[in-house]
Amino acid sequence: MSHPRKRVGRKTAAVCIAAATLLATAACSSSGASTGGDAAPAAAAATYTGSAVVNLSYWSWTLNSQAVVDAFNATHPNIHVTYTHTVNGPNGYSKLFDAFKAGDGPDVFNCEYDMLPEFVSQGLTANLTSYIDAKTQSALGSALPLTTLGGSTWAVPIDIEPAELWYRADLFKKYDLAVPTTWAQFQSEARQLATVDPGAKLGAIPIDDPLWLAALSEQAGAQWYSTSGDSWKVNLTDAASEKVASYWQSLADKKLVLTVTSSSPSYGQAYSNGTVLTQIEPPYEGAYIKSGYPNEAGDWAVAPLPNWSGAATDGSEGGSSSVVDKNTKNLAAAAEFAEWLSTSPQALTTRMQGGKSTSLPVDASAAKAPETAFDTSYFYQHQNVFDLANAAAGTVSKSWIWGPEVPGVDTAMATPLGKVGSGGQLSAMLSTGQGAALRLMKNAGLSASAG
Amino acid sequence: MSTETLERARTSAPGKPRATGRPRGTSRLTSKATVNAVLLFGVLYTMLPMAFVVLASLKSPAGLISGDVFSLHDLGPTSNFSGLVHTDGGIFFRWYLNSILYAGVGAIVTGLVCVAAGYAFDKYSFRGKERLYALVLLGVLVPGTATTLPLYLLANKAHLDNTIWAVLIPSFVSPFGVFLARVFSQSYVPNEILEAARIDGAGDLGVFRSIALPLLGPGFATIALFQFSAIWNGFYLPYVMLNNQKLYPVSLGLYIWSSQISTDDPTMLGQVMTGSALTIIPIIVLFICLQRYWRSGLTAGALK
Amino acid sequence: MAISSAAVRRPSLGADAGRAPRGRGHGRAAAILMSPFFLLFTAVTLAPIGYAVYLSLYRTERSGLGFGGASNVFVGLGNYGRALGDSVYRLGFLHVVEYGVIYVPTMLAAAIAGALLLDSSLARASRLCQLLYFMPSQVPGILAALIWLYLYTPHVSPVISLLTHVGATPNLGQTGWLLPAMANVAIWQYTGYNIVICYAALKAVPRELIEASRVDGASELRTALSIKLPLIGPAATLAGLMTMVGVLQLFTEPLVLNSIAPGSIGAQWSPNLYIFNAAFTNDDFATAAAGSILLALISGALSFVVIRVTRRWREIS
Repeated sequence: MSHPRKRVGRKTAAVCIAAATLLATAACSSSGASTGGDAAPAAAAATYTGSAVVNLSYWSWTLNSQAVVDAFNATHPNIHVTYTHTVNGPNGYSKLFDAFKAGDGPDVFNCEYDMLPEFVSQGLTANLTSYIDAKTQSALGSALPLTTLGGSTWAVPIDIEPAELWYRADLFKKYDLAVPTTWAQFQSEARQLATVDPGAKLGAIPIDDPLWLAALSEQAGAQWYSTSGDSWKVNLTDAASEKVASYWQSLADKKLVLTVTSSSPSYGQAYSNGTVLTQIEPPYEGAYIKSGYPNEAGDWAVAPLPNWSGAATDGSEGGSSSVVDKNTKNLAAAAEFAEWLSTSPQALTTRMQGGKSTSLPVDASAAKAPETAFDTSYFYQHQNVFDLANAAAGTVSKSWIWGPEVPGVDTAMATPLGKVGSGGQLSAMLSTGQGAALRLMKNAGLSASAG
Repeated sequence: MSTETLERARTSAPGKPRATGRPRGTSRLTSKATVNAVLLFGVLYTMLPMAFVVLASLKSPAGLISGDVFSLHDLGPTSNFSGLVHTDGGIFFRWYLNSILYAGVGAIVTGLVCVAAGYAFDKYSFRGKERLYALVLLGVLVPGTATTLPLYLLANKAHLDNTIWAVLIPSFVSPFGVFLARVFSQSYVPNEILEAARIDGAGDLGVFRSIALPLLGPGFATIALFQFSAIWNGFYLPYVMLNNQKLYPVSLGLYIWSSQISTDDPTMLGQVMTGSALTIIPIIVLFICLQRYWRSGLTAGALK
Repeated sequence: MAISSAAVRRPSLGADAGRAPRGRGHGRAAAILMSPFFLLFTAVTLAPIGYAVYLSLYRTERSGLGFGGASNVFVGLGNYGRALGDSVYRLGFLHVVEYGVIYVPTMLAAAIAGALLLDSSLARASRLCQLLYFMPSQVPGILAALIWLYLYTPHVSPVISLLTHVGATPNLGQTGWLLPAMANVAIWQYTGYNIVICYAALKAVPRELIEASRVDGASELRTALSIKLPLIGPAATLAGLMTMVGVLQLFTEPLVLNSIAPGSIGAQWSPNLYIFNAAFTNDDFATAAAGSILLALISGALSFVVIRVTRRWREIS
């Protein structure tokens, strides 16, 4: 879609936008997928023990999914999964919604965390709470809060994507800057850089990506959505979010950061010619950087996101999960498959073969071996980007969830956000989003209030 | 223009141009220079972005990302092409053949269906004709955005979704083709020829088949070309209808690949661009083949 | 086949429906010729439109957190009121009208002129030109969008560098630049397509007529304007009508430019983008259907006016 929902595949987003024009919108998001889990399949709570073969359909857009499904079928004689490769983003979800309207939805499908509440609040998804046993719980614990709404678990998390600071180590050295650990330091170094080289910027605000500000707000302690009894609570304008907005607004006003759409060629250009030194992106961005800027081999490194108080906290910026259709033919078999996708080492190994992805599987221990498929020699001093990501994942908020109607809220926020850098205010994005969320939820008949 | 002029022209020397009294001298030279200068400007205007299209399709992913498209750096045509050949066992070429089937069959059927309907709209009069014609307009006025989901739901009920019929049947309909056929029938099929044929005792359908249809060749060619390109480039309906990737048209396959660029695999960018550029070829070939239908004087020639 | 001279002399040239055959037998032939189209049209277009109208009268209602599922509630014309009541939807119409005022006349004039020039005996390599003009309409959207994205982005585009050198400062954030830039994309893509329509119609003009006019000493320009132009009137009108309907359903061009100037375009800039966003991003098909039907009604009314006006205009001339 014109406004990239959540993680836009930067630099390449131009292509998504382009695809859109064929008539529909392109699915310009990303959020990778991955895997997680070291639990052996047999240990999963969800197990289908019947002898009759159950046929399941599975829709996803993630890399190597066909091979993953083949591996599952080979080891599970009483379940047969048929795979359909769809696309990510609005067009992917609209195909799902269409299929559900026809009563023909897939038994299991891939869904990003911020879209999950839309499916759950339409009553389309199966409650998986009773299938998550203690072992699974501990394996997927860091991301389970994202799929737990109103006290029930509605999806099995696949990857977790904590925001990180990707930076040009060579340019930091050249300008004699230290890698900032706090936002105060980030700001002072941005000023320092401007005095040394007025053409260079320490960072950039992607003005087509509302998820970026969401992750930074989450880090600062915001809680945009929550549930209270039988009602949704919406709070995009709390003090923490406003603090983050005004911090970046002031950097933008002083031209200390670049304001740019991540889907325009300017974005890739800024990182290809070294105009901008850092980007705030989750783990999967590593693969983009590696293939997108081959001439900068050995220059890029990743650090934890700078923080506000000195204590390490983080927000998540994308990621997806496996959801089960409420009307699936066999819930136990579907749940077993969904869990296997996230917790089987075989699933992880198959998914990460070829080493094209740096998405972070939720289950760190099971992913240890599969992660070595990715060659990290591109990065500064051969940095193991997964180690840092796993540490960051542990500092992500344990209470952040998304709410229903997020696509509509994103659409509403896109216009004020797009004006940042040419007279617009980030705080206007928050107030617009707050109003849109409440209005859209109430229009849908949902119970919602501010707070 | 008067009918008399036409009559004179028609009866005098059909098909045989007289020695033309050409306007001579500098004024013609100036006109010729002007006409060709304007045409050349048109060519430059259309071809400059086309040159970039070609350039972009040859770029490596990094060359595209850096924004440095308008240069000859970072080209990667061979790795782009080998990506096309090797991904999923060369499924790109299967998609390509699917598209030729969908667009080829769709174009021929649509051309015939539209020419028949447009001809009937032009040559027959019956009660409620213009109202029926206005109904066809409805097919153009309602955006596809609103009909895709209902069409899918109907196809699902008929168990036609995820079959080639879900792609083919909708591709047989072109309201615009009917309008075009009616306009072409007005100018390409003079009524007096039909009347003459009827006087000779030919039946209505026989007249259509043996006289009108050949005369409507240029109309058929135009409609078929437009429909071919519409089916060839359209991907949204197949996207909604199909789950089996072996049935995908090439437009849909490339769309799904392009979506993968932003999710998992940015290295696919180059092969998507090269693949997209390769999809222009069949339409160029078709255009060149059909160009002969737009030859002048076809009407007069067919009369003899 | 032979044509009797009696028939040729009958002054019945033209597409006057009044002179078309009627009566028994003819009616059956007309029905046979039309039925394939109308059978398909009913299945593929009319039935889905009817379905969309039906769905536009309902809304899905949820309650509480929504976990219990949704139910369909009859709301009459409520969704129509919702679309019309949204200033974003209404503003879309203003946008496309402003855009259309620039785009439609420019493109049509270029297409008609292009067809006449290609048909002129003075033109060199006219078949090649025709192919080249047509090619942009066949460039897959993914490539075309990418190219315009690059051609319109400052510091990336050689064209913008050139403009900046001569003192202009293109800025898609300003309407004065945005609308012409958008129109330029469509002119590039569709002029050649419409040239084909006009050119094909032009080829129906009997050569003898043109020769006769030439013998009378008319210049190439006069022949083009006084003989050829009136004869391609119906085709050009049709092309114009379709272009106009296309403008009201404008979709691709603002979407492409949105990633350069998101603040001044947004995801709902045109009525069709609004509808698309409702249907595919927000999963609110009811509003999308209502918005589509309103759009169709407005386009229909406008088409009716255009058809009337051109018919009147042709009768006068």
